[in-house]
Amino acid sequence: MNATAVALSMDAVVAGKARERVLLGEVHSVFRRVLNVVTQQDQLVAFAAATVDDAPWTIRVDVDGWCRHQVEAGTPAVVTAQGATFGATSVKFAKPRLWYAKDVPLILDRTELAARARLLDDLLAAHGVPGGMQGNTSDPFQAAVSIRLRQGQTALTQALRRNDAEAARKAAEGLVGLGPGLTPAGDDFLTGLALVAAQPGSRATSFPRLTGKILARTTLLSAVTLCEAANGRARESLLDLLRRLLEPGGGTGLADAVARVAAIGHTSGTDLLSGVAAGLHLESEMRGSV
Amino acid sequence: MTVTAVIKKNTYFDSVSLMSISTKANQADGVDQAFVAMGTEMNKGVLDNLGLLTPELADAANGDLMIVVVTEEGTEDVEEILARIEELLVRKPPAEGETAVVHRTIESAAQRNANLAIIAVNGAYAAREARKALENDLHVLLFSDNVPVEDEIALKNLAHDKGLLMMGPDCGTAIINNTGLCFANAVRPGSVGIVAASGTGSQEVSVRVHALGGGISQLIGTGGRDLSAEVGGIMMIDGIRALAADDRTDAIVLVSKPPAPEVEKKVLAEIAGAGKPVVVYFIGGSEEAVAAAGGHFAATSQDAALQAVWLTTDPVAEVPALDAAHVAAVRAKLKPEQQYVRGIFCGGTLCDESMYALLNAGEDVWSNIQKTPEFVLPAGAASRGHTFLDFGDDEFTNGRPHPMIDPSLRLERLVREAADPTVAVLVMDFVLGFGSHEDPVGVTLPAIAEAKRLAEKDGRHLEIVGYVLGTDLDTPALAGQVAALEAAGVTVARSSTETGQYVRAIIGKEATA
Repeated sequence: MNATAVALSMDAVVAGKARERVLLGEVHSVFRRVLNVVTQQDQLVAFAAATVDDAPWTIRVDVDGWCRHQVEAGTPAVVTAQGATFGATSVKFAKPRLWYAKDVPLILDRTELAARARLLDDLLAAHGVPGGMQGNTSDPFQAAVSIRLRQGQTALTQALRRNDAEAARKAAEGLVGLGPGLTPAGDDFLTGLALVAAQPGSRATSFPRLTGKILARTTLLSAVTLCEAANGRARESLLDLLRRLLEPGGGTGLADAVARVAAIGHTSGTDLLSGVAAGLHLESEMRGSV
Repeated sequence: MTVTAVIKKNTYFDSVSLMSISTKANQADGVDQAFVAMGTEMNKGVLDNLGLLTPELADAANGDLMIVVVTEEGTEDVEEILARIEELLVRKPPAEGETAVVHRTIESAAQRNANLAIIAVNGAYAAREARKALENDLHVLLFSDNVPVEDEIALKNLAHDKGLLMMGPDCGTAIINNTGLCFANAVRPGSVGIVAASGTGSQEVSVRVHALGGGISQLIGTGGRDLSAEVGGIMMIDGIRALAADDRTDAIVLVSKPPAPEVEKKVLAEIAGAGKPVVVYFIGGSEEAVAAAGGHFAATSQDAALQAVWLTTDPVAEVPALDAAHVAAVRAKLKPEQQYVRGIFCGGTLCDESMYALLNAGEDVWSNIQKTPEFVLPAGAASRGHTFLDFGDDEFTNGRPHPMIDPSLRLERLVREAADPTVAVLVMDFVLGFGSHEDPVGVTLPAIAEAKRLAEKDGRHLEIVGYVLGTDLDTPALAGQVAALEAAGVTVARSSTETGQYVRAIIGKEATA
C-alpha cells in the first residue's frame, strides 16, 4: 500500500539521534498498532499508531494501525531528520511535538507513600488480569512461571530492602525473560520497579544496573524497555500514573490512569503496575528504616 | 505423552495475539497441552522443570518463538496438529476491498469482459499464449522476452489486422486508461500520449510531463525490437494511429533508442497524417529528418516532456538550469587522479542518456550497451575509464530478476567502484512505481554509506549522483526517496537529462562557473 504518514509526536532522544546521523536498519517486527525498526546500532525505533501513547524511542504517527500497510519484517528502513521510510510507507517528520520523559520526584513521606502503594494495590486488584505476576491461571506453563515470578519478586524486594546489591542482581537475573510474551512478565515487573527506583529521591540505591549481560537474557524489545525504565524513561501512560500517584494532596484520576496501564498488552499492564506497587511499598519501607 | 516442538526463528507476536494462539492451540483436537512462548533462558528453564525441554527447544534464542505441543502417546496425526497450529501464526484477515479473480486460461478470462491480457510466461510459450489472447479479441501486453522475431512479426500482423494492440514482446511499461501496467509510474491523467519502444525512456518522459504539470492519456509500449529492420515498426505505427484517434490525446510523444534508418523513415511518414503534434525523441536521432516530416524534434527526454507540455498544458513551462555553483564546488573537491565516471543503472534508456551526454562531449565510454564494438564491455568485466553499465540488460538479468526488483548485483558493484581511486563520480538511477522495488533507495543506502566510507578513508571525495525516476504519487513517494539520498550525501539530479548534464559538467573540460 502506498502511504505517506505524518509523525504526530516523537521521543526527543530519537529526534536528536536522527539529526546526528541517518539511521539505517530494517523492520524488526510489525504489530497491529506498532511497527518496530531495528537500526544497525541495535536501537529499536517504534512507529506507533496515533492511539498509542508517547514512549521512549517511539514516534507516534497519524495512522490507525499498520495492518493495511503490508510492511514485513526485514524490509529495509531508513530514519532521517526529515522522515522515515520502510517499504512503500513513508513517515514525514513535519515538526512533530517532541516528547520528553519527565521525572517524578519521590517527595512524599513514608506514611503517604504506604497509603499510595495500598491504593494502587486496590486498583490493581480491581483492574488487573490473571496470569503473569497475578498468577491464578490453569495453564501449567503459566502457573509454573507465576510461581517463579513470585519467588523472584520476593527475593528482589528483600535484597533491595537490606541493600544487598549482589543478591538483588541475582534476583533480577532470575526475573529477566521469565514469561511467555514479547515483554515477559518478569521484565514488565522489573520495568515498573526500575522506573520507581530511577526517580529522584528513591532509596532503592542497590537496584541492579541492567547491564548487557542481564539484558541479553530477554527479547530485544523488552531489553530496550527495561534499559530505558532504569533511566527513568517509560511510556507516558505509566509516567502519568506515577505522577498522579505521587502528587502531594492525593492523586486525581487514578482509576482511569490505572485502567489505561492495565490495558497494555495481555498481562503486561498488570505486571508493570505490580512492579510500580512493589516499588512504592519498598520506598515507604526504606524510609522507615532510615 | 509425546512432546513436539516447533521453533519459529525471529518471530514476534504481541502478547494478546500470543495468548489467543496459545488458547486456540490448546483447543485443537488431539492436543493435551500447548504452550507458546519466547525462547528466553528463563522460559526454557520452566519447560525443563516441566519435563518438556527438547534439544530443539534448548537451542531456541530470545527472539525465537517456541511452540510446544503435548499429545497423548501414540497420537498419529501430530504433524497435522502442528500444521493447524502453524496456520494460526500466519492467518491474517483479508484486507478490505481486495478482490481477485483467478482464471486458469485466457479463454475464461476473455469471457469476463476483459479486453487486455498481460502475458509473462517463459519465452518458449509466450507467442502461443499471445496468439490465443489476440484470437479472443484481447489486446496484449507481452512482458516475456526470448520470443523469436518471426513470431513477433506474425503476432503484430495479426493484431494489426484485428485492430488490436500487440505491445511487446519484451514490453515492460504501459499506461492504458490511467492504469499502469507492469513497470509504470503513478502520473496525472492528461492529454499527452506516448508510444515507446523503450521502457524506462517512456517512464522518464511520463514522470517529466507530470512534474511539469501535464498528464498522460495513454502510454503504449511496443517492445524494444519493434523499430528493428525485421519488425518494421508495426506497433509504433499502430500506436500513433491509435493515439491519433484517441479524443483524450492532444499531442503524441514517440520514444525509442535509435531505430533502423528505413524504419525511422516509415514512422516519421506517419506524423503528417496524425492530425496532432508529434514530438520525436529517438536517442541520437536526426533533427533534420524529424523537422522535414513535420515533427517536433527532442534531443533529450526532458526536452521531449517539455515540448509535450508546451503543446498541451502550459506554453511557458520551464525546467531549472544546472546549479553551476554546486558543480564548481564538487570539481574543487576532486583530486587530479579522479578522472572517471562509473554509471551503474537499472534503466536502459537512463543509462543511454547519461552515456550519450559524455559521448557527445567527446569522451570515450565503455559500456555493455555501447553501439561501437571496441567500447563494448562485457557484463562481468572490470570497469575502465568512463564505464556505464545497464544492469537491466539481458547479460545481467539472465537467471535473476531485473535490478528494479533485485538490486543486489548493483550494490556490490557500487562498493567495488568506490574503491577505485581514479573514480570521481558514481551515477545511479532509482526507479519508483508499480512493479519496482518497494524501497529502492532504502535498500541501497548501506552500500552508499560504505562507498563513501571507503573514499573518505583514502582522503577522497566521491561524488555520488542519484536520479530518482518517480512522482509524488508513486509508492514510495518521490520526496522521501530524495530526502533519504540527500541525507546520505548524494547529489540528486532532477531528471535523467540533468543527470547526464551534471556528470558531463563535473568531468568535462568546459568551464562550469
